[in-house]
Amino acid sequence: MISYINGNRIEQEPNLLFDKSDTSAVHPQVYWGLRKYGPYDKDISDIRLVIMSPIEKMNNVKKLVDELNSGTPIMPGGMPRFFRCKIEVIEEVYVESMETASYEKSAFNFVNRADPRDVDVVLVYIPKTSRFLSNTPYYRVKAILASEGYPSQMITENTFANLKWSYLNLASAIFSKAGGVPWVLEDEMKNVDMLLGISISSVISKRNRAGNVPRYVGYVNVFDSFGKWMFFDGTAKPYEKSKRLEQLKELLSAAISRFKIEKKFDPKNIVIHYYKRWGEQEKQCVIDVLNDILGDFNVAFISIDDSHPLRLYDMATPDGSIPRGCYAYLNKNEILLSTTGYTEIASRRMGTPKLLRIRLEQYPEEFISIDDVAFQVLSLTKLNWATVTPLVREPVTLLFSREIAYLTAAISEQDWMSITRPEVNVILNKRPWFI
Amino acid sequence: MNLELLEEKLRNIITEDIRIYLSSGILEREDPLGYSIYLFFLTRSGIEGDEVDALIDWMNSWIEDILNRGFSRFIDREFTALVLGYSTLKSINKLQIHVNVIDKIYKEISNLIINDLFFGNLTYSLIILLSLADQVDLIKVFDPVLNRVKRYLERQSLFNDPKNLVFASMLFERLDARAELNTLIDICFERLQRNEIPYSEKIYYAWVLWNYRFIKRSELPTIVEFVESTLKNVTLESFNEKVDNSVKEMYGSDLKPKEFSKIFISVLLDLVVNFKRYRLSARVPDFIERTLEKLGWEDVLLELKNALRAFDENRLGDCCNNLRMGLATLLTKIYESLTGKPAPIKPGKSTDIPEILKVLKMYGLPEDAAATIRLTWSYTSERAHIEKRGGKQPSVEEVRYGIQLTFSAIEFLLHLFFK
Repeated sequence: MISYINGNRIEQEPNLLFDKSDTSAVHPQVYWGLRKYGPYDKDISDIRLVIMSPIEKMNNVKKLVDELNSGTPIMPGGMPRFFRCKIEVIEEVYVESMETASYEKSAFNFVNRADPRDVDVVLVYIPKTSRFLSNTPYYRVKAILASEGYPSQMITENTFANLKWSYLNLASAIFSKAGGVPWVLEDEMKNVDMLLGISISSVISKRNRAGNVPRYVGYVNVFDSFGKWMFFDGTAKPYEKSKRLEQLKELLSAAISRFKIEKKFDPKNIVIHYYKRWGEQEKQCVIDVLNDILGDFNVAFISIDDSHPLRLYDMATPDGSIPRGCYAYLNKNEILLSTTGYTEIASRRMGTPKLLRIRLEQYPEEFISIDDVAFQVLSLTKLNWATVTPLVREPVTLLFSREIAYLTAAISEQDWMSITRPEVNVILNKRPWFI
Repeated sequence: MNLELLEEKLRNIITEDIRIYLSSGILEREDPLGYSIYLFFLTRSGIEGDEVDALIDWMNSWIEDILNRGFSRFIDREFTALVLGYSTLKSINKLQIHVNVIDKIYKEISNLIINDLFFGNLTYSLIILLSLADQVDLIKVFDPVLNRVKRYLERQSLFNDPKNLVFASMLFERLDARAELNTLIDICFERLQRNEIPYSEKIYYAWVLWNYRFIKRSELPTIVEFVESTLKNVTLESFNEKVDNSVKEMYGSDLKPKEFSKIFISVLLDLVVNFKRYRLSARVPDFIERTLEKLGWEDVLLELKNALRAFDENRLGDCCNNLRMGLATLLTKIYESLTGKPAPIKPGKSTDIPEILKVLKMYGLPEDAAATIRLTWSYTSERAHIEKRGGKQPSVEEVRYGIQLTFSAIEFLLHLFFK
């Protein structure tokens, strides 16, 4: 039994960069960075938006878009100031009722006549439903649109109930789904060339198919050394669990090849985040793939999970929470990291911090320390482009995987295969359509 | 608004920045583009000093170094810095690199295109095109990228990022793309009139409208007022916007004091230097103008006005020539008016200034004043003949001194003989 533990802390909040061509546009807080410097990517033309909504809600949605453009007290200057572009509504698609079938009908009608190259994002008003139900307007419309190459952003009655604070999150999500990069880390993560958030056994819905044997999909989100999300890739077809290693091989090979093409260099130090514990077979499979493709490489297997009962407190902070950036060593390669505790970057807390348990394993030799990993994970909590909230508990590698996992559990195999087919993938893979 | 003080502050910021940067090891230097932008604007503004010399030496060694070690994964910043640094050094005859830089640039440049832009980024593309504007015919990818830039202008997304306006206007000027330059200036001016320019972007708009004011000559008073008010409101101190308390509750207080980007500081300094020059020389003093008009000596007045325009447009040798011509014409007119005879001409047909002054002394021009006027004429003549100075333009300070000397001499002469 552990009677005491040692710890450490990250002294300085990681900085973010808000201009690709000006390295001095730096700020530790997303809100203030956007307000002062605008987004990292300033070359986005006006965003072409399609609104899909029931008739009685259409005016509210249009008003919301107008306010995004013109600004609000929280977002003064609106899109032109915070994201250096405007939103242009190019089409309004009406939905007959709030029933899932009506949404499906409108979405199918729309995708059958429109061209995804002419639309950046579809903004859809939907009723609020549980995330764990699959046959809802949310999942159905998201899947129908994504399978034809349209990123979508959903809004509900809750968005309007909390509109004051929704504008900026909505704006950021729409901007990134339109292909813009809102912000990245100022400094590269130490000793990292390529970072992957991977999932290899995400169960897919049994919708529209016979049989009860569960089938799975795998997917990967690839980030560069600045934590910039580069692309998403998924396995082409759902598979049975026994085939997962073959699928992992396929996924990893494709991701590394694409990384090499985009970045024009071979990654040497590769870090893979996984929200489960790494199995021996999975690790060996990764090593085999990297040996085949790269030869000279280092790989770090990092598992991050928050499903443990451990909590830490600090009596020295005003609210007793263990400060953000503090971590306790459970052993040489395992820590508990606080990402939502006391911090100067935010006034509002999220209750007792639910700590991230981080484990590190490396091959063939150590190239990164557990302290570097702590800083890396803390940095990655700042890169969720769907929110400007200063406190995000999970790193973006996990968050994105979780978002896709919710989606895969609700969509059919046909939807998944459509989303990952090359002609759709070429449009969607550079846009975080799933956030 | 104290432009002298503002200029000094900006130069101090740059000098301190350069000092810190150059004292770090060459491999740790991670912002070559920022410093090559400093160098570009400092030389453009005609600023000289130890910091500029240090930057020139650094730029030469950095270019040599990067070509030897090759580009890193930051090739976007490095390549843009290389091209801008190379063209700046070349333009001021300070390129001391033994490697064939331009061949390396030709070799790399076609591989850097993403979506018809260099590195898929508009600012990098504008800087690279601007730096290589004299190589248009030799670079295959120049035109496709330029066309993309023109499309950005048509769609007005060029205006998303105001620093792009500065580089785009210089690019269009250098390529003699009049239509695009006019469009850009028209849009900037329309936004000014509609009061649509956010505070944080005003410096860039002011720079563009000021530097290309000749396109909107009839709107000069509005532009001058805009530049003056923009410069008056510049603050280099830490500044916190007044914000709703709930913003601080939700997003935390702004934890970072105001810091300025190198591009912002460079553009602001360039604007201050150029605008200061204009304010100094904005107009011929009232007394001189009124008296010359009354006497019907518009040719003298025209020379003086041309001198100020040349100064304004950075044609410093021409400015000195107009000053000397204005002074010589005035002396000739005074001589002819007092003696009723044509002014003496030296062999070679230039006005014999010493002979004229000798005669004017007989009409009451004090001996020491005559000597000073003769020296003023020699001073401006010496600086007008840039071919005798190896093509080197006189400095801004020398010419400002010449303007003040000449105006003082003319005012004195008019007072003495025609009050």
